Amino acid sequence: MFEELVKTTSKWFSEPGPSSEIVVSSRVRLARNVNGFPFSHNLGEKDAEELVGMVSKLVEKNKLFKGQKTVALPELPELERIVLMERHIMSYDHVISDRKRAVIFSKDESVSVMINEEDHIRLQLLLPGLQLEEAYASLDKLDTALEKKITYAYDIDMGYLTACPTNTGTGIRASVMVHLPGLVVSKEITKVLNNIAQLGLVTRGFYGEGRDIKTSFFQISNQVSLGRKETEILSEVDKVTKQLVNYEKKARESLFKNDRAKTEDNIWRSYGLLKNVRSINFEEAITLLSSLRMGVESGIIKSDLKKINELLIVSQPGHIQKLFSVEMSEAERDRKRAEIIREKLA
Amino acid sequence: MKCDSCHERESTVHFQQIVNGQSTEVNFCDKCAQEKGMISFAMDKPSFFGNLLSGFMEEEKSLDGLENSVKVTCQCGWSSNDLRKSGFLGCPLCYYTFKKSLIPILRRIHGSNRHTGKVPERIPVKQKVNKKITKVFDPSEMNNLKNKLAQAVNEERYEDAAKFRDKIKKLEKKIYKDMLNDV
Ligand SMILES: [Zn+2]
Ligand SMILES: [Zn+2]
Repeated sequence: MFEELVKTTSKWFSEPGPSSEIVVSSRVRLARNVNGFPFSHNLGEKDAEELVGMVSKLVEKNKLFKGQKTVALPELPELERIVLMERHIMSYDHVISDRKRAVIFSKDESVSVMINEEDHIRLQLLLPGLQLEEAYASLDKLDTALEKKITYAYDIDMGYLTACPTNTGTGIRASVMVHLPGLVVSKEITKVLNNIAQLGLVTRGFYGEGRDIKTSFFQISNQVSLGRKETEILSEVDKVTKQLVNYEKKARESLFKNDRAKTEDNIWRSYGLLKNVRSINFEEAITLLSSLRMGVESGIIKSDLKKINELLIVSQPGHIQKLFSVEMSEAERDRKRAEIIREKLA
Repeated sequence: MKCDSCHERESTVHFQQIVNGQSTEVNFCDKCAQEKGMISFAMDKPSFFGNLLSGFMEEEKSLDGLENSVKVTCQCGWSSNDLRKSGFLGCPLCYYTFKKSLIPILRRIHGSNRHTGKVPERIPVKQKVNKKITKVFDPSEMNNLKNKLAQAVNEERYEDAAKFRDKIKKLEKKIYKDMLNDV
């Protein structure tokens, strides 16, 4: 299974969306539970099985999943579960849990439903660029279709009842993945992220060796899910993301104005390295690809974002392992990764 | 620096989580970071929420007085201790069983304990665990009233708005009573 899948990026990710030069992707997820059953972590095996069967049958009928089959996860080899995680189809929790659980995703991999994750049902939709409202609109339709058949656990006062009180209410989490090399290089990033945290949003990023920030991909999402309408939550994340895009644009402008030679040198060096490496670990690959992405986004290097987005996905460890379908050591994986990157950028 | 997870390999990924201005640093090796999905765009496991929550729970302990009273257990088998230790509820019914300690927690996390978002087409009245009987409440009357209220507020007809607000409250009370009776 998935031999074809690992060769390229997900279809939804292959074309850039609005503000794609800074916003990599948008994602909305809804947490739902079926009334009358204990939450997933407290569910007996028989109930879990019944729930997976019932929900997957209903979901499969939805036209979004036409021709797609539910994937039962206990039966799926671990490597393939990791591949699904690396493609953002499902969470790490769903990879390692030992519950009866399943996942079903649309052909373009943009919509997926996890069954028996932390909540009985987790619906999610991914779109390229900044498209939170669009993502919610489609997801809401799927949710409404499902709730015609399933009675969700819901309370008039508290809203959708979820396994963890951090998701109670709307059960919504709206998040964006942003690429902020300008703010990272200009060292304004900590200040900006702290400001965002003050606004009640959650930020996460990947930090490099020591205290120097090496990679510049960050995720921003809402923390509050209760007391505000879905649309209010979405527009808040959207608003903050747009501000962030402006900050990043300004940071890049001043980088190119005040430090053009060094900035360009950095970009070309990364490009040169990627085209010539013979062995590279994932962290270094991400760092160099980030730099190359900024080069492409700023029009310095003529390549397309699609290629870089693809490399960000397929250079992940699980993908490489799966692509060559043999047990590999870390060193072998690093050599294969270099091979794939050179080939794509040639 | 060794990896925080396997404590064997050198850490290569240094990860900082910032929540409300407070940050903690986590260090993982390439392998563990990848396994933990640290390097995945679709991450949806803010594990620090768990910590955040047990912090709240610790504080709430003294407030709700539960620790001194007998251990409360929901019909799903989940106890107040389980809730405090894990930060998770055992079943939808737990929301009613532990309501007293949950409300302040919800307020702390969300700044509110009142849902204002989507209303599903079917609302369960019977919240019996392990019995799939669900009496379904028809929300059209409620939705209708809420729309009328919004309209009245929009048009600045405040007397009408007050009337609708009263009706909504009454209806909510009725639904609520039904629900508790069923439980
Ligand atoms: Zn490790
Ligand atoms: Zn319970």
